[in-house]
Amino acid sequence: MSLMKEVTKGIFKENPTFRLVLGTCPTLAVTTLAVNGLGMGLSTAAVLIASNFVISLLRKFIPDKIRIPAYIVIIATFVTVVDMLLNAFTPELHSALGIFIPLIVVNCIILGRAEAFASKNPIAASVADGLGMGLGFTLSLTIMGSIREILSAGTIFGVTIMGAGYEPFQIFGSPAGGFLVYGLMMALVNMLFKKFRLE
Amino acid sequence: MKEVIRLAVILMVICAISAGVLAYTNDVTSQIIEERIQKEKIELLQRLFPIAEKLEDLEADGRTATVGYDDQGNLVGILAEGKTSGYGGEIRFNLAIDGEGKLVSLTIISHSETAGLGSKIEDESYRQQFVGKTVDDDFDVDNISGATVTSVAMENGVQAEMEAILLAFGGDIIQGPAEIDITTIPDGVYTGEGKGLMPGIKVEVTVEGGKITNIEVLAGEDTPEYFNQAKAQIPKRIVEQQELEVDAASGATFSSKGIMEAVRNALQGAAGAPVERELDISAIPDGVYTGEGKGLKPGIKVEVTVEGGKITNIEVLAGEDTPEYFNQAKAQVPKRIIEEQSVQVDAASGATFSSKGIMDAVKNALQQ
Repeated sequence: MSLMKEVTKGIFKENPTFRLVLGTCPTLAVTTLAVNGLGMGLSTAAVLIASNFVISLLRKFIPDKIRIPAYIVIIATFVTVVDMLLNAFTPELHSALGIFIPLIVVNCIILGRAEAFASKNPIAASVADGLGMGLGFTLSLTIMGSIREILSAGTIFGVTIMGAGYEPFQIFGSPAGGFLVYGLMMALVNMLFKKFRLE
Repeated sequence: MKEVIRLAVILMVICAISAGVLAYTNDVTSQIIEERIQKEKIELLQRLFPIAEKLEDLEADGRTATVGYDDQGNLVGILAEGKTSGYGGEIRFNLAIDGEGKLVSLTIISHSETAGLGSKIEDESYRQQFVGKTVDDDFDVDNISGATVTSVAMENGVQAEMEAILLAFGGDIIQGPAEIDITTIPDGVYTGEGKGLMPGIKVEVTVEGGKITNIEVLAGEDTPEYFNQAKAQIPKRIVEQQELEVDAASGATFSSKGIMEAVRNALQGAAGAPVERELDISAIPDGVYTGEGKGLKPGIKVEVTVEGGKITNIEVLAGEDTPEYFNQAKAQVPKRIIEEQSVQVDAASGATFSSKGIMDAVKNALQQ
């Protein structure tokens, strides 16, 4: 039961993008298309689960004073290994996700969860936390990517949904549009949380 | 102190393990990745140049290329890798160039450009803009908005790499500056034109006794400040050194190059063609002669035995062409030369280059 709670908290109550405001840089950069958001979200989720696992495993071995460099080395190693393996054995997946993978190293969600959760909790809970946070991130990015794609190109996941007369808002494809959507989404989420007293 | 060392050791252990894991993974995967890139390249070439009957992997100028030939042995396509430095690091791409020197396809192999911006170089609509261009065309295509650095890097990189690839593998498609042998130029006054920063540089070159004796710069539209420097130094240097390529006047590179180009332009065509000596086999004294030739690759060596004014034996000692084709040429061409007592015989079918190489080598041996 408590594991399930670790998973769901990442999706709603502690959603990394809209509630914890972590990983904003990739959020703004890649959500130009729904498919990019989904790809980035899923690759981050995979790395997050794995790095939470490893860091939780090593939490008693790594001294407190050097935990940050140690985490960064572990995460960077992990990401690079995943990158190389994907490239070698699943080239299609790699060409779809490849550009996001190097970005994951510097994604502060990974380091944030390593620091805030995995270094203090047992393995099972850490993996559950990684899964929840990963899914929450994926969900937020996909929603943002969809909104920006619909507004800026009239399509979603590449499928045209707006009529021929639709005049796209180019700005939503640019970084400025990313900030607009991000800010409005955050306001909406905050409003919903207040209204339904979820906190 | 003890604590510091303990921390350092632990961190070192973590780093060492990481390095080990990475090295091992790289070792396992790099070969697979390289093989896949190679395979994709061949598939691409077959799709782009369906008339190619024969594919060969060549190496020149530190590059490798896959070159396709039609059934006549004519070059119909070159596929080679190029790279340029983008915003986020190296951009690697494949260029496919057809037999006329036109770019048929540009594909991105790998890059580290910003996702969503510079990464758009992968888009078909962006890459398509380059298709159909020759090296001399304007490579200024529509930039990717928000990714100017990447766009400019691609424009310059694709053009420069295309030229380098053509110079290395393109044979006659484009030519580097031709060698001009000043000593073969008949006496006279020649005029030529060149382009500095601006077009319109005109020179008059006087040749006497196989030497450039005077260069008069008649006109030029570059900024006088720089142009006059070049004008004062370059003609003097060319006359002194009897070379068409001399050091540029410092601070006036473009004007200097323009004047050199104009001089070259004046003398081009005036130089006599090298005299081809008729080869009279019957006049060659008995002996064993060695010669070298170039098939698809240089390095063909032969040993030719002449007895009583006849070629009696040809031994092919070395050759770097693909064995599959080279062996065919090796089996047929020497026999034909001996039978016909001529250095110009029919090539072994399917092995034109190797055959010509062997003939060249025999000719080279007997000409000495």
